[in-house]
Amino acid sequence: MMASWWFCRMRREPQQLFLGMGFFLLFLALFPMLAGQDNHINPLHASAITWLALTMLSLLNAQGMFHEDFQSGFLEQWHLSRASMVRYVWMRVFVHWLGSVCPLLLLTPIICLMYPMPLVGGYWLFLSMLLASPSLVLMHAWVAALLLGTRQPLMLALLLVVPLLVPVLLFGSGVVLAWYAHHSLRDGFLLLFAVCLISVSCLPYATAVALRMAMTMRKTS
Amino acid sequence: MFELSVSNLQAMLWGEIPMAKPLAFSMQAGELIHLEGPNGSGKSTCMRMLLGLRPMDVGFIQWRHRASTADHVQHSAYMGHQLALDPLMTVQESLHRLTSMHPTLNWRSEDAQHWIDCFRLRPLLPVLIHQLSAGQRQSLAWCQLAVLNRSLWWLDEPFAHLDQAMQQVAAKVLLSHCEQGGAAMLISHLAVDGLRPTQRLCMEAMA
Repeated sequence: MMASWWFCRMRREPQQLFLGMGFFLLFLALFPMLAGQDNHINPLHASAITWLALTMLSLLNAQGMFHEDFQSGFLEQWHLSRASMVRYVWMRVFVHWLGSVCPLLLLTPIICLMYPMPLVGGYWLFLSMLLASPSLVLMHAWVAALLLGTRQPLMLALLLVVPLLVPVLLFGSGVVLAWYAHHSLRDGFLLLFAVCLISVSCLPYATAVALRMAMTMRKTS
Repeated sequence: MFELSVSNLQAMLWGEIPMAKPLAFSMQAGELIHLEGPNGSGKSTCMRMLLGLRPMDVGFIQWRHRASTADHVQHSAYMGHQLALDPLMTVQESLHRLTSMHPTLNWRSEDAQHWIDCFRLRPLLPVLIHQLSAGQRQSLAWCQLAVLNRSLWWLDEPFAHLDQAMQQVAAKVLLSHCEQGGAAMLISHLAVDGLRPTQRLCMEAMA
C-alpha cells in the first residue's frame, strides 16, 4: 500500500532504473574485451565477474536508499505516527529490490549470450543471485542506515559491508563452480538459503534501530 | 481533557553547555503557548526534545500526571522546518501517503476534503510538489497537520512563506483547534493579527 507511492515516484524518475542496467551491461561487456584471448572466457569467469558487478553496483545504488526520506523529514513523521519502523524498512527494501536489483537479475539471459555460458549455467547463476539478493539488499540497507547523515559515507560503507558480503559472494559463486565441476548443487543453495534466513531475521531490526538513532542524533535542522 | 507538564527542560550544546535557562510550563486543553527567544536560543531543539526526535538532555515530561516519554507523542502532530514532502509526488499522492500511514485516516473522508478546501489546495491536487511555490508547500503542510487530527500541535515557524490571506486562514484554524479542546505550541517570529497566545514562554539566554 505505502509501497505504491514509491512506485509512482519511480515512474517519474525512470532513469535510475536504466542507469543501473546500462552500467551493469557495459561493465560485463567490457570485461572480455580487456581479458583478451580471443574473447574466450570460461563460464567460471563469467559467473565471478557477474557476481562482482552485482554486489558492487547494488552497494552504490543502495547508499541513497534512506537519504531523501531523511532529508525531507518524512522519517520523522513516520516516527511520530508511531507506525512500526521495521515496516518502513521492509517496504523501502522491497521497493529498492524491485527497482534496482531485480532488473539486473533479469539481464542474466543476455549475459549468457554475451559470454559463452550455457543456458543451464545461466539458470543456476540466476537462481543463486535471486536467492542471495534479499540478503545483499538488506546488508546494504543496514549500512546505509548506519551511515545516514554522515558526509562521505561510501568509504566507511565499503569497510563495513565487505566482511558481510564475502560469505554471500563465496557461497553464491560456489553454486556455479559446483555446477561446472559436476558436483551436487544442494550444499551451495542450502548455505545461501541460510545466509538469506539470517539476514531476513536480523537485519531489518538492526536497520530500524540505526534509522531511529540517525534521526534522534541529528541536530536541529 | 489532558495536561502536559514539563519541568526543567534544557537543551545542551555539545551535551554540556546549557543553551538557555531551564524551561518549565504546563499545557492544558485549549492553550496556545508561544515559545519566544532570539535565534539560536534552542527553541526548535527544545521542541524536538519534547517530541522525542532528539535525546532529552535535561528535563522531565508528565502527560496526564504520569511520567511520559512516548505517551504524549501519539497525540502529537509536528510541523518542522522539513515539511516531509516528496518533490516527485503530486499533492494528492502526498496526502494519500500521509493518511495511509495512519489506519484511522482516509484522505477521501469529509474531514480531509474540508481541509483541502480550507487551505485552497483543490486546484493543486494533481500538481507535482516541486512545481509548487514555497507558500503553497507550507499550506500543504498545514493541511496535512489538520488532516492528522491530533490534539497537540507543535508548530515550528508555521507561517513562513505564507501570504497575508493564508496567514489569516492558518491562524483561524489554529485558534479553532485550541477552542475545540486541542492545544498547541508555536514558535514564530511573525506577528499574525488576531493570534493571541494564552501563554508566552521566553527562552532566556544564560547570563
